[in-house]
Amino acid sequence: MNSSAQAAQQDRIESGADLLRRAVAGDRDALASIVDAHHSDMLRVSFVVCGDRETAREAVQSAWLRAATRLGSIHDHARLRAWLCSVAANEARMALRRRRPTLPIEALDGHPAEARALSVDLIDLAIALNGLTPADRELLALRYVAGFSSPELADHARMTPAGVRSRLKRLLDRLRKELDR
Amino acid sequence: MTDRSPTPDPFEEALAASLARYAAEAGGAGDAYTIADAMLDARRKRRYRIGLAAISGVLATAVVAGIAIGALAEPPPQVGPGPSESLAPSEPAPSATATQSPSTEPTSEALPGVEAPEACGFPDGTALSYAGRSTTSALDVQEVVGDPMSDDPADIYVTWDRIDWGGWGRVRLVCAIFVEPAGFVEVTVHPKDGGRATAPPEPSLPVPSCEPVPTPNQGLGDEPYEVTVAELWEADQCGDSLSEFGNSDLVLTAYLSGGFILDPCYSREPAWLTTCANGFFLQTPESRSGDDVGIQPPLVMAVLHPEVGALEDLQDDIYPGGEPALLRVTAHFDDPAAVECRFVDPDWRGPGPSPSPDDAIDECRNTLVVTVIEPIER
Repeated sequence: MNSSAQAAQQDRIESGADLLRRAVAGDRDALASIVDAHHSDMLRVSFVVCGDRETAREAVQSAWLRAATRLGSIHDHARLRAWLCSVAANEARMALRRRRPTLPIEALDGHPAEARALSVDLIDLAIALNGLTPADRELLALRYVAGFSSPELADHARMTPAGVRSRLKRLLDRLRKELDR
Repeated sequence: MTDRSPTPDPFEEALAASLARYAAEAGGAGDAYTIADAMLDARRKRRYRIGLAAISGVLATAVVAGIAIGALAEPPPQVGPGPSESLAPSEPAPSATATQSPSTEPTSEALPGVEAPEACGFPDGTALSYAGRSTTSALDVQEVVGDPMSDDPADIYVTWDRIDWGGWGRVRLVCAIFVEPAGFVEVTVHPKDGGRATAPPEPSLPVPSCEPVPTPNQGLGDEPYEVTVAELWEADQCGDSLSEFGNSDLVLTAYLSGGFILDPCYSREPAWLTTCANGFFLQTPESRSGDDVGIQPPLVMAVLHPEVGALEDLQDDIYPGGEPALLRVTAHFDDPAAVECRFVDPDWRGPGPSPSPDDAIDECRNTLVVTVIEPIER
């Protein structure tokens, strides 16, 4: 890495850390910047976990309110995105639990009404996702939507990285079967 | 940020792309300033709550002190610094589940006369044990109210109650009291809807490493192979039961935890190979004492081969005098009957599409079939 690239990277690190510091201190602009940077990712992760736009939005709203009082516990700003996505995924899973009675599971009608609004090639995926547990969808969302590494997933799921890889492999095998039908 | 394998799996890549497009259906960004204002508002309310909580915080601290005094009389399982010791936020917090062993679980060591802080929401008179200082991120708690990833140290109290799980055993209820630098004590509890119940802790348990191990299928011969419940559990967790053990006769020492029925259960033929209707758990000798038992890993699900008889007929061997006996068990995977396995329920009530015929065979092949049960302890 040349010196200008190093300097640019250093600037980014400092600006990220500074932004977090200011947000923790209650700076509205800094908080808004953090929301702006991460809200979409959190929403996408939540949507994959719960399969429903409205529930996903509510989950992310709850996640931000949780984050409001806990931002100060993030000592490394580089962890912020992963932390926020984790909180959003957790909120989505809890929102699903609260959503009772559960929707009947029947092909298209059973998947969140959103399925009917999806483009055709995503409908099969939506149905396959609906056949997984919320915890499995959470794992997929954090891996493939939020881009978590195995150690980050392991940290989130309280598993070993090897265990996470094994569980992911089983999930992929299952989805491969479902989607190949 | 991802750590993809060196040889990309085309299906995985296509799935990742599809998931990204699917996730994008969630919609666009929210109004950042509206959310920021809501966050600031939440903080202001929290400060107000902190003010109101000052008195109750003192009371809770008094309870903590009471527990510490109780601890001097009868030390509870200690998994971290005590409540009166400081733990720098940056210091790696000990996991409440990392060093406890099943034999030292707090079930029988709840501090006499110490009741859970009222704010924990436990039933009146609930005895609890101090389980050490940890963080919620280090706890094996799935439904924590608050921040599940918090690095803030908290004093953790655990108690046990027989709720929701019927006769399966005791479950853990957790109350975490955060100790913040300013001294404010915040109580975090699980929801009141029963979600407080978490799986019993997995202390000192082998975390599946999924490392290859020498097994009968790897040249150790056809003699009965001595295994432990922990090894079987690890192989199952890693999806390696068949590849590691094939159909070799396996011999193990275990306790049997009575039959159970899972709902929904998708019955298979032959019926005796249906674990969710006719199955039981084999547990490690260490995982139970008397009948005060938790169903906790390492354990393995198994069924009885019809030639052994029905579970009800073996009660005198399994529970002589009503007490569980340690058993010598011979069992195997990949029973010959597995190739004929098929699902027979007319309608699938579980999540997702009904399992395929191949799934039925696969599940049966991975089912541990017990062929011999001999009590070795009376």
